Amino acid sequence: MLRVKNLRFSYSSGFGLSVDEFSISKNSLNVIIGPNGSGKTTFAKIISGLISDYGGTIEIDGKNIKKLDIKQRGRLISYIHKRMVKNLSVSVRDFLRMGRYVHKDGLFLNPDKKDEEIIEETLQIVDLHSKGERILYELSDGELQRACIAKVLAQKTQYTVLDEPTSALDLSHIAEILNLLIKLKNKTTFIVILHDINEAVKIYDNLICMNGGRIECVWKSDEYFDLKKIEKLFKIKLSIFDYGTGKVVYF
Amino acid sequence: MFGFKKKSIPLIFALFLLSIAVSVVSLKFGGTTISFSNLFIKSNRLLVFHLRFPRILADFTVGAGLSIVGLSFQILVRNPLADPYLFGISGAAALGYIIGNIFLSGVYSYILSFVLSAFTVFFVLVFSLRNNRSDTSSTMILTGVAIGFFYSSIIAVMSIFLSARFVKNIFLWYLGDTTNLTLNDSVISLFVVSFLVLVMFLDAEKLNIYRIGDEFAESSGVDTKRLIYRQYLIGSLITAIVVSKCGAIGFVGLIVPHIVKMLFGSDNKLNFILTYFLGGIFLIIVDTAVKSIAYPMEIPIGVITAMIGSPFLILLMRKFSNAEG
Repeated sequence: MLRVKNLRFSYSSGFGLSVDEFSISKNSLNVIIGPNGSGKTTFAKIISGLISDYGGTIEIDGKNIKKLDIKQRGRLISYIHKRMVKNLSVSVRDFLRMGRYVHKDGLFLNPDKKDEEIIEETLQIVDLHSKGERILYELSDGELQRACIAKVLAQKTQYTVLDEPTSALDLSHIAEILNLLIKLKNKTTFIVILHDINEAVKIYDNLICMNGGRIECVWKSDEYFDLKKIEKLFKIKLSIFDYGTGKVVYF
Repeated sequence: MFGFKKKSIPLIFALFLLSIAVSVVSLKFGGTTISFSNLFIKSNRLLVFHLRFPRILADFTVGAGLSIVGLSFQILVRNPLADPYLFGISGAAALGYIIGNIFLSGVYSYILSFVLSAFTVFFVLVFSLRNNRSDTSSTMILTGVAIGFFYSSIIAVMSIFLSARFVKNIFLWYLGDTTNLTLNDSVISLFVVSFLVLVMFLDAEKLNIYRIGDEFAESSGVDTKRLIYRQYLIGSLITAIVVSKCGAIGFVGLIVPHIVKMLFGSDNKLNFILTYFLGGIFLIIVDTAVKSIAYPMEIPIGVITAMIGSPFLILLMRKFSNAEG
């Protein structure tokens, strides 16, 4: 259980984030949506411990993440966005190995058999096993995206925060990633920021709508899908098409 | 043990042996050439053990220390042009040492030297990072160079008020001079600097991860803030020790790490060790060659490294003008 209490945070530019009470239960697929600048990424970084000068508490499985040391925190939750990988001169395998660092006691990363197995398995999952020795800058945007996802998967955290994991992917790879999330949600708890409402609709267990630094609403997948609220959130008139096994929302 | 690739271990061992071999061979040269069989006879004891040997140890210490500091700072600021000299740290250490020597004494000059270098590192970083996010590379170098000039100008003003003999000594030392160490001094410096290098080396894996990105490292279990502070403080300490002993020798920290990265890739665990040995070997060879060729004149070693280093810097700036290292 990830629990947020009385969270208050503001940037010096003035944008503020405020969440009174919020929680995410284990092994669920949580999708955050909201217009640009609504605080999705800030919120994701706060619950992952990347931003720490906030008020209030964030607890994961009863532990206040501010009080954990960084390696312990890195076993509980990790966040990734393609953009935060700045230096790309590292091979895909070495990149994934870095995900194993939090599980090592020593100062050095000395991957053992188990680590290597996890890495190979993860490479298979994201369909990059034939490109393990490629350097990151040789990859296409989509491949880099998948390498990033693979890195957090190899880290085997309890909670995995993915920021825009489907951006810059073509349809077949979007479908693969979304299916992957569904397949893996019994192994880790996903918190995923998505831009495309339809991608969100396809997979969510809990849909978290953010606006102006607040969580406006949280829906479970079996609750009524209230289009009015989505229209209000994005400030645009929308239509919904139900095709039996799912629905599509579009303007 | 450290997760190297297996084939690296013979390489490290070879470099270790090479350092010893280069040191022993260098004992022969510099003025009168002594044959191997005569190196250890009694009549050559003063020359070999009290003049040449300390100088070789000092060369190794300076070369190894400054190269490691360069390597570490290049990773920390993600700028391939970082170097203790170009960052103004060497100038700071020199000024601190001179002021300490004139107004205070003994151990205080080292402390002042360290404090001023540490202050300079943080000043350069804070100033260049705040000012201009898009073009930190050149801002950082320019800030460092400007501060370096500022410190040199203070040293110049101070030297006007000091006696001519003192000034000449200061001048020669500032340009880089590895000749003034006693046997004891040189052995102690080598051990202290090597120990500090070892402490920096313990962070090598974290630096590998940090290299990818700040937030990436934070979510991969690396405490980046502590890592950065630790590396900067120890790096400044090494620079202060080296500079107060042997003057502001520049560009070593730029040349050696780049050659290592070019030849051996980007695993910092390996690069730390290789840079340590190659940095030491590099300066021993340069110093020995120069003192043998120029004999009986003494050309300060810093002048030579600047001669080699400046064109190297220009080449690097062309290569990295838009890229990250």
